Order: sequence, then structure tokens, then C-alpha cells
Amino acid sequence: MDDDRKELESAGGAAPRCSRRAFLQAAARTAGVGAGAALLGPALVGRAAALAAPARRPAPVGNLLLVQGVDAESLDPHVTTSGASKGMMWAMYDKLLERSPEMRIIPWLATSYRVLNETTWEFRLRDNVFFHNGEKFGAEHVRDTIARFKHPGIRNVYAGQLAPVKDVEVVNPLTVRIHTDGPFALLADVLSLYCEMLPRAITAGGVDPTRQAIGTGPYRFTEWIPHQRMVMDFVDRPHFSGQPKVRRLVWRPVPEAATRLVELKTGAAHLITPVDPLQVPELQATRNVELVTFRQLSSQIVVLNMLKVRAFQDVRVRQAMNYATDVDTLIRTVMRGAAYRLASAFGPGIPGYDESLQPYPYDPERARRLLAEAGYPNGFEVTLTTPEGRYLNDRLASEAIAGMWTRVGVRTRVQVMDWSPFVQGVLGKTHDAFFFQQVGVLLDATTSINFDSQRKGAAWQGYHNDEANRLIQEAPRTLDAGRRNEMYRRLNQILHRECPWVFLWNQQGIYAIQKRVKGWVAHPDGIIRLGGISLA
Amino acid sequence: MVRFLAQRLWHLAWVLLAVSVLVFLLIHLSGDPVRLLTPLDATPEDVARVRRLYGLDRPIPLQYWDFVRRAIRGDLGESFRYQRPALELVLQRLPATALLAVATLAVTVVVGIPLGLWIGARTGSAVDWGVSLATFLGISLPSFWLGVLLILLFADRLRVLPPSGFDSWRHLVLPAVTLSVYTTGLITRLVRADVRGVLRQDYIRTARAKGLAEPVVLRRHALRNAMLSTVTVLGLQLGNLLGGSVVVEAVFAWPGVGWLMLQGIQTRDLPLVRAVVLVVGTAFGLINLMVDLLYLYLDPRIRYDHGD
Repeated sequence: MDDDRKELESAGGAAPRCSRRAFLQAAARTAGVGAGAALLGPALVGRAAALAAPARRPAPVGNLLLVQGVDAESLDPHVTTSGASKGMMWAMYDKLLERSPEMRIIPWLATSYRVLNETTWEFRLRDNVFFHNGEKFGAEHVRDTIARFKHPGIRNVYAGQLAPVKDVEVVNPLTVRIHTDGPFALLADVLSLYCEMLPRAITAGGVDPTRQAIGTGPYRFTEWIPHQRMVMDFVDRPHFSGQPKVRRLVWRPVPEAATRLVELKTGAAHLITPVDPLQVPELQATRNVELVTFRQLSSQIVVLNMLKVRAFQDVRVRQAMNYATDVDTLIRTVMRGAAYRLASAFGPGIPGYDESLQPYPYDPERARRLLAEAGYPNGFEVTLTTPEGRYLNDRLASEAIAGMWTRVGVRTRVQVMDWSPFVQGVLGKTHDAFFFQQVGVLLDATTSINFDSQRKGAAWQGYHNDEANRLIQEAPRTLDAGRRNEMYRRLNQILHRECPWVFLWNQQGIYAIQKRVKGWVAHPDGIIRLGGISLA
Repeated sequence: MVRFLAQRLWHLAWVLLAVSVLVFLLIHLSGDPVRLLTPLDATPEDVARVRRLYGLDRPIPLQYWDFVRRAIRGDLGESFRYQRPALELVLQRLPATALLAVATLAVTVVVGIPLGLWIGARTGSAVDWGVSLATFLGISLPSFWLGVLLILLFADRLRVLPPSGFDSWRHLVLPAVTLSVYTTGLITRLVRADVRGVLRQDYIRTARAKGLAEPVVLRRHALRNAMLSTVTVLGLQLGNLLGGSVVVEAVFAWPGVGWLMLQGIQTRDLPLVRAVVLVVGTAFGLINLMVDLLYLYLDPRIRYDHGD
């Protein structure tokens, strides 16, 4: 039960004096210590409360100008899906749990949790937290928010993530028990990424959350003019993650990459994202600008359709496709170095990542030999389908891959598609092979939806392995984190050997920021968290 | 005249109805909107629920009938993406687009018509060659490329104008110039060609023989007669500009209808696309009607009394 049994009591958890960064570090350390923290529980909390005693901090100053490629989809945190929207929402709303920059689960509105039995989780909540409308946060808010998150009338495309939650029991104002209809190991993962806590004003229907945001976050909503700007001002009450150091946040959407770059250079933006790798040399040569890079969690792959291309049903052919793909050259040339080689299905940061697995080397001779052994000495024809502009250099990479495959006898034609028909083809399983990005934040759930031959999700294109299926089914129900991780490691090993995909890379995420912005920490999920940020 | 106006408005209503059917069918034919509304890792249960919520589980004719019933009451539905009334979203963006369109057209009229008139009276001269070449370039340059170039020059290098945004008149300059390079080139060439043709007419020779000064001949006799086609093209351009310049609005982050429509199409936001098309279509129809009425002023021989 390891981590799940651990209480995530944190010194930082109740200490408003800590900066968010320091808090995150403390929290991550504490989460790592685990059971020890649980035993220390009450004493530690008492000490933390003492530390939380009054401390004057300088008032926040300055306007932080953030420019992203897209605008928020909505002001309602439960219906937003994009990373850009989530960054904006999380400045105003808090969740029960959070993720550290290392993607560890850390305490947030919940100071600790523990698994009482296979179907019951208990969360202890932070005291003295207030919504921006003055409501005091408590257990009833958790109950009502989860009910709203799951409500079929809310256009929440992720409502299914909490489908196993059967009931939320209010034990006392600062304790809730969440009952599930079976073992649901992913509850903490889900609550660290979804289900922003809402006040009664919203859950009771009095306030329309698409027009007014009311959270417990360090910033309160000021205005949103879609396609122009969203403005938030600091809340004049210490936030548990550390008082914000910037007075006002101004988020602007600028879709064109070249325009974003000029915005940064001219001082009209303090931070821009995403940054095209082609712009890196220019930004590196720009005074007062620095680049922050990180390894994204999503896996860039080529999915091989075994339902459509008979040859792909043979594991030797699938291995040959991996040997025939010179990924290092692709990263160096097409991606301009802005990617990290993927050895198997998932990279670091994802449960089940196995660093002992080695990437398939580029070996066209071996690829030809495997194709011949599989009964394809003269190769075969295949169409590689790609969207254009959806993923970084998708078309360019696909054309290069097609050239590599053709060189070993798999005569490949590239088909470029608009996103909508591309998605139809992915879901309808009609592409021979396609360039794709497998989202990997919530690996467990993603895997079970996308890759299970029973669920037949997006990335499943005919691959079947009884053991893989069993692991995918059982892992999300295995509460023991150690055992669960081991199951995912085993799954990763199977996928590495049987390669239903051609494993390519984790893309490099790039933020460009002005040097006067201090305290910025990037998260591998690509979602902006602003806690410790300040303007020099 | 009243009959003419009523007839044109009646035609416009039918055109809008036909356009709405077309948009409805095209959106559905180009892919399942629900699959674009939901992430690829959404559970099948969530996909089905969203389909029900948006009413997209019903037969298409029923969906369309529902739309027509609401549209008659002025309700064009709620945007899938923004969860706000689609009409409200379009009307919010319309002023930005209208401002850009009017500014572009103002530059076009102020620069293009005099320039066209000037070189039209000097065809074959070096000036004519020079201006014609410049206008040809103006028509040929992709607005995306030109827009980025202007940003790099005026915002990045010279730092005299902001690269994007919508807060002051300074933000308007670059997008308006980017758009007007094309329209000015077009109008200049059109006026030049028309003036050149008109100047060969007998009545111009008569005017000159009467001893009228050349500027008066050009302004009163040549330009006015050359304006019919120019006004028609200006009307069409205004209609196009009100539809929003998708590329230019995106390059300059100009919060107009074009950018909104682009997002609507990309996410198959059916109510939003429908609202944009209907609002822009209505504006387009009304502008054409105004152009027809302007003909009356420009050419008194034109009459609309007999249903012509």
C-alpha cells in the first residue's frame, strides 16, 4: 500500500509563510518520506500551524503578462480541457491535491489522505481556506463539487474519470470520506488533475461559472474578454501556497508564433508559450530572455494498424518498422534537437517507466531480415497518415519516416489530413498507420481507455495480448502503488518487445521568459503554475 | 423603390435559409462534431453523454428543424466551446471586425481611387508602370507573409507600433495596412482601367472641347462614370472584410469574427459557425443592397421601379 497508505502531512501544507516553490519542494520531500510523515502527523501539523503564524510579506507588485497560443475555452473549470485553459483556471481555483514539478502528488486543499479500505478514502482538509466570495471551504464543498463534476448536465468531458466514486461522506467540516464502487487506485491521481473545488454559490446554481470564477486560488477573477485577455488580481489574503508576489495576471491569446516572439522581445509579454524550436536560436541571442525547457510526458509514436495491414499482425514486421526508423536523425534534423528519444511506450515521469529498456537502434539490414523472415522479402505497400500542424513538425517527420521505411522495402505513401477526418480515421481504425501523440499524464486511465483490446480506444488498432489486457484491467484496481507500478513496468516491457507502435520521442516543451521573471518552474504536463513567480 | 427593397430583403431571407442548410450539412459531413469536442482519451460513456447533451444524437433533420424554430425567435443556439449564446459571441466580435474593415476601406478609398485616377490619366508613362508594378505586388503578396513582415519591421526593429492586440488606434495600424495593401492594389488597378476606357469616350472629348480644366474633366466626367464597377467591388470587399480576415486576425491577435470562425470550424462548433455565417451573410446582403442603391446616385439612368 506504500504511498497510498502514506499521509501527505506537510510542513508546508499549513504554512502560508512558505513560497509556493519552497512549499512544493517541502511537499515533494514529505510525500517521499511517506509513512514517517503519517506517524508524525499531529505533531507536525501543530508545528506547521505555529510556523503559519503571522508574518508580514511585501505587497505583490507588477502586472505579469502571459501570452499563450490559445484562449481559455470557458471560465467553468470543470469543462475546460486544454493545458492553456487549465493554467488560467488553476491560478483562481484549487484542487484537493496537486502535482509537484516532478509530477508527484502533493497536498493542496487536502492536507492528507489515506486509504481506509478497498473502497474508502479519507481526506483531511485544510482549515482557514476561503473562497473569493467569503465562503469558508470545507467538507461539504468537496461533496457538492464532486457531485457537480459528475453531473450529467454539466458538459464535462472528463466526468467519467470519477465514475467509480459512489458517495462522498462528510465526516466533519474538515474530513471527507470518498466511497467508490470498487477498488479505484487512481482517485488521488484524478483529484490532482481534475475537479477544482467550487463554492456553494456555484454548485447551488446561484452563480454561472461561465461568467464568474470563484475559487480559493491566490488570484481572483477580474475580467475575461474572449480572444482578448483574461485578467486576475491577487487575493488580499495569504494563500496556503505562499502569498502571490505579482499583483495582476494578464493572459492573452496570440495564435501566431512569430507574433508571440515579438511580443516577448518588445516587452509586451513576460512569458510566451508554446515556442517553436526554430525560434530558439533567435531567442538565445536576445538579451533579457531565457528559455526554460522540459521533457513533456506525451509519447510521440506511429501507430501500426493491425486490423487494416495484415503484415503488421506479425511481431517481426512491427519490430522491423522500429529498426527501420532512424529516430536519432529525426530528432536531430526534423525536431532540431527539441525532443527526447523514447525507448518504449512511456518516458520518465509516467508510472511504469523502465530505464533499463533500450531504444530500438537504427538497423535497416536487420529490418530487411525480419521482413524476409516474416514472409515479406519484397516488402509491402502502406499509407502513413498524418495531421498537419497538430503536432510539432508532424508532416515533415512523417515524410522522413516514409522515406526510411521505403528504403527497407515498405513502400510508404504519406497522406496528410485535416484533423477532423484524421480523428475519424483513428477512431474508425481505417488508417494503415498514423503519426500520433499518446497523452500520458494520467497513464493508468489513458492506457485502459486507449490501449485495451476490450475498450478499443484511440491508440488501439488491433493489438491483442492477454497479459497486457489483464495488466491494463487490473492495475487501476490495485491500490498498492508498488504493485501497481510493477504491473505497468511489466506492461511497458511487453509493449517494448511486441511494439504495436513505432516509438519516437517525448517532445521538448519550451517556455521563453524575460529574465526579470523570477521563480518560474516548469511542469512536465505543460500546465502553467504561478505560485512562486515574481517580477524583479 | 419600396417594392424593390422588399423583394431584395425577401431574397436575402431565402439566401440565408439556404446558407444555413448548407452550413449544417457541411459541418456534419466533414466529421463528427462530438469527436472533436471530446478529447481522444475521453471514455466512450463521456462521448455518448456529450452527444446527448448537445442534442447531436438526434436525426439531422430534427436538429435542423429545432435550429430553425429557435432562430426565428433570435436564438442561434449556444456555442459548444464557449457555452455562451453564439449570437452574443459573434456580436461581441463584430465591432472589432467592422473597425478593421472600415479602416481598411478608408485607406483603400483615400489612396486607391486618387492613385487609380492619376495613373489612369497617364497610361503608358513611367509613373503608370511604377504604380502598376507596385499594385501588382500588393495584390500578389500573401497577407500572412506581409503581416509578419510588418510586425518584424515596425514592432520588432523600429518599435513604433505594437505587434498585436486591440487596445488603441496604434493596434489598428498594422492589420489595416496589411489588409489594405491588397484592396488598394485592386481598386487602383480597377479605377485605372475604367478611367482609361472612359477617357476615350466622346463625351470626354466634348468636355475638353468645351474648355473645361483637366482636373474637372477627370473628377466630374471621368471618375463618376468609372465609379460603377469600383463601387461594386468596394461593396464586395467590405462584405469580405466583415466576414473577417481569418489569417490577418490570427497573425495580429485581432479579436474579430474571422478568428472566431476559424476556431469554430476547427472545433466543429456548429452553433458558432452557423451564427457567424448568418450574421456575416446578412451583413453581406445588406451591403450589396446599399451598393445597388448607390448606383442610383452615381448613374441617374438606373431605375428600380420596374423590378429591374
